[in-house]
Amino acid sequence: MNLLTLVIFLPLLSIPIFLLLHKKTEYIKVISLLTFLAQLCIGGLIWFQFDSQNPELQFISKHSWISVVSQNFSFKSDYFVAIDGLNLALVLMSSFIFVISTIASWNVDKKPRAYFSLLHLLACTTIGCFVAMDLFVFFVFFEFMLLPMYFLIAIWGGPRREYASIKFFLFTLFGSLLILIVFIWLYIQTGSFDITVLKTQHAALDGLPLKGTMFLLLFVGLAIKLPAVPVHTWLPDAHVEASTPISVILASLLLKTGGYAIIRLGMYIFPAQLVEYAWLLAVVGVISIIYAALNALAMNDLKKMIAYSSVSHMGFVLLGIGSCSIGGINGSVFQMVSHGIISGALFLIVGVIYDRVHNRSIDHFRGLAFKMPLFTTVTSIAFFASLGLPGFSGFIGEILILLGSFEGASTHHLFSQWWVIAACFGILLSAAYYLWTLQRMFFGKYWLKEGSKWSTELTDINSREKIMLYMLCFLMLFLGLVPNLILKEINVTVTHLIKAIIIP
Amino acid sequence: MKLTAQINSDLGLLLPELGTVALIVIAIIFGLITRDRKNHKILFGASLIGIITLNILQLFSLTTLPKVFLFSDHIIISAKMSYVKCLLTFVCILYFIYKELKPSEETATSELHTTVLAQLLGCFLVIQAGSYVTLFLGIELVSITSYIIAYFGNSDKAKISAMKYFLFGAFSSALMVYGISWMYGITGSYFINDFPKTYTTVFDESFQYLALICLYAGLFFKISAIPFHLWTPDVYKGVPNSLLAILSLLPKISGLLALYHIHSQLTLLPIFGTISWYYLFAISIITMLMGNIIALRQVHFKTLFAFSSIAQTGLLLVLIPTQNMDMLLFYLSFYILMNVSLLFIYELFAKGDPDTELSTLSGLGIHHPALGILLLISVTSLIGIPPFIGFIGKVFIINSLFSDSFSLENIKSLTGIVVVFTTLISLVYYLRMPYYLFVKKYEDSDLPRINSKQVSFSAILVLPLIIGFFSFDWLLQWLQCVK
Repeated sequence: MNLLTLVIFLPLLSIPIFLLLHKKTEYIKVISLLTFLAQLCIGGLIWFQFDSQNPELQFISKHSWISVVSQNFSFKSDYFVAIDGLNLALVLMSSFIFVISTIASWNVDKKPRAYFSLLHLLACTTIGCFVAMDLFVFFVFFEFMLLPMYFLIAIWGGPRREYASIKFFLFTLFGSLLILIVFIWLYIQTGSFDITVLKTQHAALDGLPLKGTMFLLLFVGLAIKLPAVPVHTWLPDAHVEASTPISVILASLLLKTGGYAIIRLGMYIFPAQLVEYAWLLAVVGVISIIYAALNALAMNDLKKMIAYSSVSHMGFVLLGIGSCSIGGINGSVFQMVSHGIISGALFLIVGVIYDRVHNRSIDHFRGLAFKMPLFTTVTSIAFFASLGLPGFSGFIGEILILLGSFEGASTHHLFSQWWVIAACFGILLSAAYYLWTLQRMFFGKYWLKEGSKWSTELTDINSREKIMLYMLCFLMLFLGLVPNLILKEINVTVTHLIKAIIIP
Repeated sequence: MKLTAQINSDLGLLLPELGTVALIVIAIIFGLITRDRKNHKILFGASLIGIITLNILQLFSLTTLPKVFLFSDHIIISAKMSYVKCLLTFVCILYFIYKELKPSEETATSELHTTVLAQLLGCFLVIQAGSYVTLFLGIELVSITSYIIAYFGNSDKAKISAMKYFLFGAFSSALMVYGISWMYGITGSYFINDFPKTYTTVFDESFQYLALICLYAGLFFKISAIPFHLWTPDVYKGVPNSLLAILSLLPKISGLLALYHIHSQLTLLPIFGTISWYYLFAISIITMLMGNIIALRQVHFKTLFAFSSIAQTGLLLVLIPTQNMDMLLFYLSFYILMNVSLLFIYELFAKGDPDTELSTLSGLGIHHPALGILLLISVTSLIGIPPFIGFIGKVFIINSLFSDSFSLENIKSLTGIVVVFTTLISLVYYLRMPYYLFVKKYEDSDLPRINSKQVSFSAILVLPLIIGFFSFDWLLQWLQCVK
């Protein structure tokens, strides 16, 4: 059996076990944790066997699935999964984040069977989305992701969960439908959903009048998932209402499927359009960076602030793709992995405070450093990593993107240099909102809104939270110091694929 | 002598229809002899099994043969239509099982069984009509039996809505006859398959518009396309859910196929073809948009179901001008299951009284998780989200709409965009059911009692929707082989 197929469908295998565990619900989380650890181990095995010098797809598994052929109608789709430098790190990061989110869900006692079943369903679809190389299979994974997420927000969410979950579903389904139109158009033109076949035919497709429009539809559809301003409004709502582990998955993984798909489909099928509309990607990216950062600055809800900072950091991914340079796209992939780890930690940090006092307004806390020293240390590390301090993974991603986009702007004249300068200004803004938050919440005189009542509840992080946060902080630092660990594989594939992008 | 011999040999090929007629007569006589309900039930079940067997036999005897013209072209039989007849009978069998398993008692008599069989016969005639005379006969048989079925709701409301249905129906039938007479006047033939030979363009183009609009009115009324849908919500409200399975499916399926036959012949003509093409697309756009938008505001299950089924009609209508018979049959095969399962499971949750607000479902999915998940699958399949079969149907429909040059001036592409956007609208109202099931808290202390038979029937209805998604190609492949 193909290892990759095993990674995708392993989480599904434990769902029947959950359903059998009718009485003994306390074993469910243990089984869930073991499943994801096993998945991570298999992921590690794939990484170990992965040939990092080979830019082509590896671990290919291809089986015929649907095949209807006749004179006037044909429909053919294969189950086709594979891995290369673009998605290897993302797959590993996904299994890791699911391990973290299982630990974060340790205290879920409301319908645990349903909760963990949905979590496992989500794990299957997310990883499937990263490795599917057939557009139809990709779409099935991409869209089926919404259903478990909808229920995870709607059932285990906060007070306004009805509104938030349906908004999430509507926005992302709208995006999916646009993508579906593009996929069907591609199928009608070429008779195949296989992206390796489409890659060989991309030049022939360029002559068609609608290809530019199709790229724009694809871009809008994926930008909703990413999310980019102005279609980002579902994200803060969904984050605020979702519980901590769900927020972690939403920010770390679901957003990445959008960014990954732009890179994969852009470089494989739409290279000429990627250059033509590079300015659009970059401008939307920069506007996301600045606008979301300004929003984050104005937020009083800690979770909303972090949600907006996610939008801002995903803007860098878009800018990196828009640069159409090796550095920029390398940076984008790296930034996605790095942001997956950092935003996971950030949402866990919000969860720590919220679990204790059920409040997360920034101005309700002051001087937490005296009360919770370990927590303050971890928070500072995560904040600094997120604002791009050298030595942390966030810095590597952002510096690569900025270097790449200066190259795109000055050498290839894809867009004005001022946009890149504005993006640099975005880093400054992120430093401002993180440091200001740090100063308001953690430093200064110790004071709480509810005084002594909260004071007894606000204890320092416990061992479960320590495990999660220390692991994430270690990874941020480690990837920041040894970026080559994953950048090597990314670079080989990107360098190979960039040949398709010819900048006039 | 030759004619009699011809008729005699034709009768042999009409075995399913003749069998149905015989069973109707037997049911009427049986109803006079005995008053025991159990016997009626057994007879009804046996008749349905008999009819479906005859149809299956016909299907396999015709599989690869070309169309057979009977009674000097008044009736056309083909393997594909035999398949549809199997589907229609299957709906009646589902209705029969449904009625056995439903939580509340239904005061059904042998008259109802006879009516259902007669409607089935009417549907057989409609889909196999070779001339407008047969078509009209069939349509009237379906209509009159529908009025009677609507009347079986046994409440004052049902009686009012049945009367409304009757009045609208009579009006649209009259329009249809008027349209048929115009068609005859213009083409000089009342055979559906016979236009190209006799057609001459003597008349002004505007008369052809008139003829077609009137002719289609009767069929649009049967399939409840907007603006001929006004009876739908009222009648659906008055009728019990089990009968709704029949009333929402039989006339719709047969009407759609009759439209298909007429349209596919009209496309061979110069002006009629274009008018029909635009007319069908326009009606399907209006039906999808209005049906979905009105459904958004519904809080009652019955009205929500009515408007969602109107919206689905719009979607199915798209397959007629794109001339995609295999896809239509494929989608209908699964549409039956989605529809019946939705009606059945809702009725189980609503303790046998489905004319309630959706909030009746509150929290019930937590108490009956298996049934809740089955309803969720059925509903998501209606929206068209993978991995359920409704998604495949939607993909194929969009595929056929975008298959040639795409432009906004092209009404075909425009319909494609409407399909995509109405999917989004339908998400909002369909998701309301799982939302109440799983997210809301349970308020009532009196839980619905659901036995394992009911759950397994629901599972049998719903599981093909998910299994079908992973292996559906054989059915399409087979439909394409069948002539």
